[in-house]
Amino acid sequence: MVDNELIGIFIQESKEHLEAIEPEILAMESASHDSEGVNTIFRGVHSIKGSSGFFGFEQISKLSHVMENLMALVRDGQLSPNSEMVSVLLASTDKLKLMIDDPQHCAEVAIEDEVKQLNTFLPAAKGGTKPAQDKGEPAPKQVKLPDSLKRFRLDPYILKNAMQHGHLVFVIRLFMNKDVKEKGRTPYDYFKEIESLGEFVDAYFDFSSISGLDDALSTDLVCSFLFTTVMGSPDMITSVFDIPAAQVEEIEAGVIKEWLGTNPGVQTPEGREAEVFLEVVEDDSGPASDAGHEPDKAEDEDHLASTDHLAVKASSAPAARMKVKRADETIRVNVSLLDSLMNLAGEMVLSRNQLIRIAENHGQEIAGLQSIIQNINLVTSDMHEKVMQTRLQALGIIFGKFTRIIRDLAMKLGKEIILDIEGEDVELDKSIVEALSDPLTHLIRNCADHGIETPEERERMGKPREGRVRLTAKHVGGQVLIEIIDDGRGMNPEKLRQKAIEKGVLKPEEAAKMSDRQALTIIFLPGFSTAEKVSDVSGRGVGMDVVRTNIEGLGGFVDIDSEVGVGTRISLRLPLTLAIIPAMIVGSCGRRFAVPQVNLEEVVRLGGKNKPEIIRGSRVLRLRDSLLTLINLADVLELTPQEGERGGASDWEDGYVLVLNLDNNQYGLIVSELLDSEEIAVKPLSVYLKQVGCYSGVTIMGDGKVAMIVDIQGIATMARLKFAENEINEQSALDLANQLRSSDSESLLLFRNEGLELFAINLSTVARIERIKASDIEHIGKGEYLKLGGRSLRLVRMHDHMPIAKPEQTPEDLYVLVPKLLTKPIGIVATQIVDTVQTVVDLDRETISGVGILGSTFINDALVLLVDIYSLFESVDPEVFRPVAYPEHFKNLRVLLVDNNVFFRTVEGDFLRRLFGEVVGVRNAAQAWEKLSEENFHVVISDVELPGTSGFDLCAKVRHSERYKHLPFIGLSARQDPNHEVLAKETLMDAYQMKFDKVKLLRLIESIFDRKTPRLTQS
Amino acid sequence: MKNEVVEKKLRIKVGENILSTSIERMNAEFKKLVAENEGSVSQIELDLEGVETIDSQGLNLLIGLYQECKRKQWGFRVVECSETVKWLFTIFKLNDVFGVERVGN
Repeated sequence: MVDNELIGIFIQESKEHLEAIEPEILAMESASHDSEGVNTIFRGVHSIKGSSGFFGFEQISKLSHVMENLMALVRDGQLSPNSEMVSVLLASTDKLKLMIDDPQHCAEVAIEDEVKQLNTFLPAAKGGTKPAQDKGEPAPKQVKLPDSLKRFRLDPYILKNAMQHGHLVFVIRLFMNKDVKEKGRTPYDYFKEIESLGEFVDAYFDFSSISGLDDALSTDLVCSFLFTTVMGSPDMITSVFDIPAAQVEEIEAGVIKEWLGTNPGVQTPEGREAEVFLEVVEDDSGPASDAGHEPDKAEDEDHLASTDHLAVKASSAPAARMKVKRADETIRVNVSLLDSLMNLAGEMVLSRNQLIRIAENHGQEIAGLQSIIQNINLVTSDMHEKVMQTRLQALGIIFGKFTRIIRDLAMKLGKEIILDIEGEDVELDKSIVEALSDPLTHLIRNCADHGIETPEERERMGKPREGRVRLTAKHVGGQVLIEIIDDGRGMNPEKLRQKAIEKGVLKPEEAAKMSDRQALTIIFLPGFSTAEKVSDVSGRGVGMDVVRTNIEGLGGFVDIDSEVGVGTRISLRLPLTLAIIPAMIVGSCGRRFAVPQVNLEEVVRLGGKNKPEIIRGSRVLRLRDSLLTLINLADVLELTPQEGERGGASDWEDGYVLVLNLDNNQYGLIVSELLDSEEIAVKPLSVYLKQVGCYSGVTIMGDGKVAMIVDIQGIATMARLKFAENEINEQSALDLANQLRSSDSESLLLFRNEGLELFAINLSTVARIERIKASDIEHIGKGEYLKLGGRSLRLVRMHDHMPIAKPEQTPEDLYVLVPKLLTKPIGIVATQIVDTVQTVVDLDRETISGVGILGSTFINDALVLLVDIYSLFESVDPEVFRPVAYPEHFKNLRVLLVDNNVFFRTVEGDFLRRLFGEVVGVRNAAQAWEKLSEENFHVVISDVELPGTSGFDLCAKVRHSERYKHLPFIGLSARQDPNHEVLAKETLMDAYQMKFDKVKLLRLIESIFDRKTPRLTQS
Repeated sequence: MKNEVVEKKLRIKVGENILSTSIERMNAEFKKLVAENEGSVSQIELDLEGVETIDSQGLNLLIGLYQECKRKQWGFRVVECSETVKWLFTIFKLNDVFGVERVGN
């Protein structure tokens, strides 16, 4: 109904006024305030006062009236603004906002405090509400109104609206008796019929024709209406109203427009009887004039919808301080209209795509079709873009309020904070701008609350007392980048880790694996709040995880960067619009899927060098410097290829890897086919599919088929991807190798020496891996040396000694593998570190052999040569590495070698066989015990860390048996552990030492057999 | 037509539709009430509970009563309007004039 629409407009306009005046009130505090700003405030509250009075919203009217009085004095220079006044004005603005949100119930809002405080600034402090003479209000130029208009209350809102819609304005005089009653109608029926054709702006009775009850019934009452209507001529009015033409007067639009130009406020009628009733009834259930405006429920919803107007282009950002360009002419359009336009444009893009696809096949058959299609293509894109632009809103709309928030927070927290805002004219889709408001508010509050230190603290740290918060927005590529930067105390990754562990958000080992940068993202985990104590400013628990969820829900990303003591930067990247997105169309198992291109970093074709490897049970791809966890789309969605379709398991070999960006992490999604890159219109998922979790929407392709839009976060969640595991570095691989030593599998380091051969070396024999430049190598004589930790390390190029391919040229970047625990170590030069793998080695000693080669095996279907560093080093430096004098009698001895590790068993076995008559290798303590009970041995050399029964337990068992208690027992270990030495003594081992050092081992064996007479156990 | 006087306020409950068929009678009753309370009341409160229809003549009567009060410098207001009556007053912008209150339940 009329009034609800009007109230809707009142609400909208009043809100715009309030938005405009708030920055001006804030500016009054700074030195930069000017008279134009003060005028803006004055005009704003003046209009609110006027229109609220018109609707009878007395509380609003009352408060704005007092504000107006105060501003009048400020404008005239009788009062100078101070911070106290600014605070009161701001508080009053808040109350106005509150009441304007729900004007029908404004009487329930208490405004006494504000009125009282405002009045204290007024010279006549008692009451002080004497109406301000609108002195400075640009004196309205008197427009000559036709006499017939003078007695009407002219409402600029309705009239402006009417003018914008090209409605005509009429003054209609109606004789209640002649025109209504005598035609057999009640006034109710009569007006109900006409109401649908226009709007009754105002009406008045000629009361003077009745003086009292005596002449009440004898008079034909005349009622005059100001009526705006869609009807195009006075003739139509006369026929609809059923009245003579003389009673209808058309008011020219020019008169109304001229009047509107000079009268922003409500025009009160001239000479209209001052209808005063003696008692103003204070009705506690609402203002008296409410009666006519009480909306029913349906109307109420209408009215809500109608308030949801958005002035096309930037006029919706009225904040005066914002340097937002105002379009000269704007009209109000309902958002729902824009929404449907947007949908239609989306449909049109789809249809165009379909058309193009069909035309591809028939383009040659119909002359001229191609050019038409091309034209439609261009026009459609253009139109779509323009439609999108109508929905764009400047960020200034939400940025504007942060000045206020920062000011309030700064006062509350006793901090000094300056907020710099940049890029408030950057535009984003309305839906995104709206959804950004809450997350940004939270981030800004966080900056002020947690980020910026108190002035005293800042001074102690040598920073300026005033903290700075910068809020910037700018276009970067096809996205908008919003940054919130503060120069506060920053975040300490270590503290975050600890806190996360304390709160049980993370497990200690998870936290330890995180890089510092990753640790910062802990604040986005649910249930994590860094505030020492939960304040009412921020840290209410909803926190940063909600911020991230919201931003990601908009198709955006959050990134964080912080340095302790320097500050924090939070970056939000957002798409311009949500409705149409560029996407990569991919196929898997004959089905098609759309992957949003915002997330897509690059595409890698599998095959050849790009081969997935298995690390700790996950398939990964080595992509430049990092490992990329792989997920096969077909596996996650449980798709199986039908006859003749590609997809599923075969994709691991020849599929495509879509490298997808998720926060700071990446993963690779494997698909079978890359089809197209297309702009797709996103359709929301049906409720039945929302729970699935791996789709974010659906789209219709050019050929009319449906494709699901893949939710890359959802896919990662479904695949239980843990990104921390991506960060396998050499050190952790070494630790891992040690942890896994008690199983049969071994940790191998795979590397290349230029050329295609893949080499492996047992990780536990490697002390460290150095990354060097070829120029770091020093040449002394024929030898190459590297300065390392103050010592010179001799280097060996494997191809100089081993029967392998020689590189044509040596790259500049090299690696040096430094073996463990050798008396005189030699570094092995490698050109590429390929991987570390945990695998059970099936060693083939026959096929490939030679100096430095232990044998060959297949790892992930690739042929790998295992390097025997001992024989390699012997070949390099025979002096040191080949023991010259073997005691001859060793040739008669039998050795039992116990090691679960094939590599060591082979290497050590080879070495021992040169000294002893026979060496029998077994894998574990049980096998050793079996051998011992069946055969005779002169010495046992055993790894101490065996799967199941350890080497120490084996030794104890040997010592406890009557038969073997004197059998020489040598324990070997791959790592140094003080406990081992204790255990070795306790179990009465003859010797205990590190593996790898053959020279030392040899001496040890010699000394044992010097001490004891070598004997067979049973002899 | 019931009436009562409470603290110098004459409360008249009309109790029926205000139509030309009964308008003469009502006018007479109003006149009588005004005359009876001359000097003892300063305000008339017209209770329109149960009034669904007011025709053109009815409007004449209400405006007549309003003007009567004004001449005597009495307050006048209308209470307990039905939805249709309220709507009618809105069209004629009589709400303010009659100080129309919210509708009771």
